[in-house]
Amino acid sequence: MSSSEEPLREHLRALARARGIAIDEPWLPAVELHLKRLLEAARVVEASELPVPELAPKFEP
Amino acid sequence: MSPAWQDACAVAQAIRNGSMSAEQTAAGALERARTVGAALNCYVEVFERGALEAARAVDAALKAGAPVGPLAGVPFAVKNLFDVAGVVTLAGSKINRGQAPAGEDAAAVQRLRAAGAVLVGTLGMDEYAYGFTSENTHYGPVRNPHDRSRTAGGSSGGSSAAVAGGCVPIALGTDTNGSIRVPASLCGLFGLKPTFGRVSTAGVAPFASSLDHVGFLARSVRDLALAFDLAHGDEAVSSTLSRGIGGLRIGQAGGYFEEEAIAQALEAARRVGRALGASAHPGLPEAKAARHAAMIVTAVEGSAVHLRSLQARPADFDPMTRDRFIAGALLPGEAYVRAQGFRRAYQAAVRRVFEQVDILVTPATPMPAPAIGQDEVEIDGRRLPSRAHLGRFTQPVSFIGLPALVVPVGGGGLPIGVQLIAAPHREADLLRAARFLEAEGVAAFTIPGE
Repeated sequence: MSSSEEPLREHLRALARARGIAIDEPWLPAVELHLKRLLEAARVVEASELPVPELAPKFEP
Repeated sequence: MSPAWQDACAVAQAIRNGSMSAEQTAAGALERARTVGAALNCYVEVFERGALEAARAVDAALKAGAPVGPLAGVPFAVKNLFDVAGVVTLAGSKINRGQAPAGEDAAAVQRLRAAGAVLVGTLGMDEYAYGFTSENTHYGPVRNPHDRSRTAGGSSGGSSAAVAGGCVPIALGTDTNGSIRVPASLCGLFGLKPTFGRVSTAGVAPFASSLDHVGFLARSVRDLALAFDLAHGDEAVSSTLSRGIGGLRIGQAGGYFEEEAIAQALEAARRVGRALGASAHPGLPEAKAARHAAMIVTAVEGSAVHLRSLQARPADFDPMTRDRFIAGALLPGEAYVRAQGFRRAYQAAVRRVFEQVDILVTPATPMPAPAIGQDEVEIDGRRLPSRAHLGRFTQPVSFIGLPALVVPVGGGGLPIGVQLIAAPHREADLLRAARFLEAEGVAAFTIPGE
């Protein structure tokens, strides 16, 4: 692990601990990879040009 | 033709006319399970006694002249995500081994059994349905009948291997992101994922509940149509199969659906499009964003289902799913909210597409079956994760619950499928088009060498 990766992975472990999940050391790289993929997916969705509606229900008077 | 390769309708007919007994048929299916099924690692559990008892009951009913259902005596099997009374629903996991057996059959299993079908066993899958290859660390990989060094697809890989391997003529599967359509493509089968909610998911272990669908894998279109009719119980589509494709507006999807796929997949789709008289069409708008939004919704909803197990016993998960479920549990909520908002806008945009066209034709998968253990695939000079990439063309479709049907297109070598997509509740159009392709010899199941 490089020195720049250490704080990120420690942050990841702390975040998981806050959710009640204990991540073993060997799992960290894969969890990090998958989380990065999901964050990248979120960026792709955010870049969509479709006008995103409000999720709250709307009732006509 | 050997009984192992007859379709469900032919088996049912043979049993009804007395040329074969249901007990002989069940014994044949059990023998295939012991030999071919074991070699393919497609079964989780085989119900030898239960299958023989059910088959004898069919024979007794026929002998007594009692009415029997349209699938009387036909062997079938189900993905181990469906509840079967008295059986633990493992869902490909080790964790579920400690669960109590199911109290009753899942709704779709009930429907097929009520039609006289004989349940032979439960089938392998990716753990908790989270995967496209049925590579399972606990139970081993399901193998492709066309090349046993390759994946059968997933997550309904046990279902596709059992049908393509001649163990049963029809199997139940589920499809959240492509888990019927991907294995259908990789094993050269017909596969139907109906409209979201059209076939009940009652008694099916949830994966991502806003995306989960129940559907079917078979070697003929008429079997798909019959199973669909029996399972959803509304209008009968089986009787409309012979109407041909007259009046259907068919589009050959371009854009996103022609990118990041190998030539074999693209050519198969074009061949089907030509046979159907398809016109060029830009495809679904924002399909790339839809696929990525589906990934987010799947990860978050899936991790919510398994959060307690992730907290209590994470080491007991298959590492291939655990790390993705944990990532889903850690994703900021705004990503999920935005993905769901996008989903509404995308659904509205796609609804407009189907005002202009009845069916869209796309490849089902970007490539045929990868090798078991293969992590990457190179397409157009780009290295891509082979497992995730299998869902490229299926995820934008199931994300908004559209019905889709995969037809197998031969041409030598490994099989590959082509996906037909329609507007919600238009399964009859898909089945008509698939039957036309089958009758024209464009789409067909090919018996694997044994």
